[in-house]
Amino acid sequence: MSSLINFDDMNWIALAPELIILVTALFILLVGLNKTLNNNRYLSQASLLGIGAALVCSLYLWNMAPTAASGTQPGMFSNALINDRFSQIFNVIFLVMSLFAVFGSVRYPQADNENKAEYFSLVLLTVMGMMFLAKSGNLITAFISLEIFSVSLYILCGFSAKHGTGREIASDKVELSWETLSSQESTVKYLLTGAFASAILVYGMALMYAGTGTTEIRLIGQLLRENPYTSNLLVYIGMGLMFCGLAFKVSLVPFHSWTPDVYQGAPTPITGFMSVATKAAAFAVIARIFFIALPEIQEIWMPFLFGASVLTMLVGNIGAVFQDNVKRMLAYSGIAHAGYLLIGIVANSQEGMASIIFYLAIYLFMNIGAFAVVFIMEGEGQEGNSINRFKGLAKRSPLLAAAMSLFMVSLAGFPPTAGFFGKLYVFVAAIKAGYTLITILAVIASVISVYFYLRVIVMMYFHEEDEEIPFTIHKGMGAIVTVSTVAILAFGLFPSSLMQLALDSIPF
Amino acid sequence: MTEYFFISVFAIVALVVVGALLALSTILGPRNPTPQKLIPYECGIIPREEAKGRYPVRFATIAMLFIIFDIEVVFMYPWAVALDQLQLFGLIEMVVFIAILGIAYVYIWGRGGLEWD
Repeated sequence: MSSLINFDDMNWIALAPELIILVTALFILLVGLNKTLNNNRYLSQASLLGIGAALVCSLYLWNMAPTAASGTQPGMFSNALINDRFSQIFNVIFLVMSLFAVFGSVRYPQADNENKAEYFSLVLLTVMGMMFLAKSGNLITAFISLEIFSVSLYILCGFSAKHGTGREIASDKVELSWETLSSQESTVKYLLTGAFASAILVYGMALMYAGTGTTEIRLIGQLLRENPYTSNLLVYIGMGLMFCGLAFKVSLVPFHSWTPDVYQGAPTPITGFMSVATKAAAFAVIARIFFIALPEIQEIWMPFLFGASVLTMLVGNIGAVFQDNVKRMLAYSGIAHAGYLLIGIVANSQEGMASIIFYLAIYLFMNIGAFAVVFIMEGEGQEGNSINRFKGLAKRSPLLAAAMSLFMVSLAGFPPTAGFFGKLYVFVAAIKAGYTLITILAVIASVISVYFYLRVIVMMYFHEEDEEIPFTIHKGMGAIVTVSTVAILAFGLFPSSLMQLALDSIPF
Repeated sequence: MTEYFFISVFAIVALVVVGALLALSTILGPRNPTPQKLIPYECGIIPREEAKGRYPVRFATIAMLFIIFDIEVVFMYPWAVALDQLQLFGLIEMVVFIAILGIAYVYIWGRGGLEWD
């Protein structure tokens, strides 16, 4: 009997980064059983080795990947996965973000936590899920990879909680620290709302299959183009539900209310990691679905995306104004940035797609840098991330204060930082596609955002410190702050090279 | 559309019949409640307390382990049926799948997840 399996399009080499990360994650899990090797030092070194190897592989594969010009087919594994430059550039974003989570291991997981290996293993598995999500060419692959990274993140959010043995009898005598309580709150809230969103997403995918008869993203696009009967009510409802499910992951308004609580309670390395990586992963799949599968029925989804984008920008930026906790402030700022990113999808053009990649690459450096400073300045308890801790930082550590100011200015979008060009390209793409109104609203929203970004700078430079707050700059975090500063300045001065890279990487 | 017509006729008839039967038995049926009739289960154990009490988290660990290996077996059935077509590659794939779960199993075992006390 002949084989059912098609061996021709199994491009294992294109999966090298994912496989390296998977093997590293499993290796770390086994190493964690050894008592002497189960410490943050060895485990983070092993993770760094795997991440580094995967990074090199991704950069090499970016160069080798099929492009629209080369004429080769990007689909592999029966089109369940797609090997193109789009997926490889997202791999780089996820891998760089995971460095932050690994460097953060100097403080989390805590010294008395026995499950250290799980932390590193879960971070790597999260990255693997995201990498597969950016590569997925089929709705089923997309759903499975989304679940892999979501479930890992649900657990990681709870890592500040002191682990009970499960053997204590419930009693009121046990005093739980603020970290434990907020981390538990974070993980439970994320799990419950996330599971609900996943259910909505998979229901949308089912309706999409019912309407078109396929789950392959490229084929859905082809059917909608060629067969007028494909464009039916089931597809529209399926599309709407899928958008709701994915909007939850990128925290678009009105699916955003979990974000501040989850970000605040999760360990800071994980908050920083998920603030960019989750957004990038979900935007990769949103881009694929709306740009490859659904451009034909643009007039139906456009008003919803338009509305969601405007609401997200306004609610995110206005919400951030009232936050005294830096992590919560950055959570709201992340919501607002998701709104800016959505403008790129609304533009529905090659330029819009490239501007999303550009924006995410810039946002990666701005946010990773800001979270690294937050991590350095972090204290214990409820006031540990209060904005008051930044008071008078300019006197004690002028370099750190200068770097934080640069990140804030870049997040607000001032020239000549890279953040300005990120916004500029998105807005230009929207105006070229004929969406002037959304651009005006986005500019108004960014004007609001200036208030709370500058507030951090005012705290650092124009306030006297209440008390001497000790902080240590760890090696890894120091490196992240330095690299982010250089990257923001470099891309701010020479944005066109990165934009060319983004234009080369759009899905086709 | 004719299929839909018959289905809707069937649905309406079903609703009317069920509604009529329920209404008739409510109106005409005799009613004399006794304590025996009012307990939640006519036969079986009478509940002693509410089900909201806390129980050790270890039950959850065992339940999770059970689900993982349960699903592993569920995957193996269709694989076993189609193995003659999947050939060597199918075998290797399943070995990889079981090996990954095996590593997780070794980890749980090593960390004492299977010990009750």
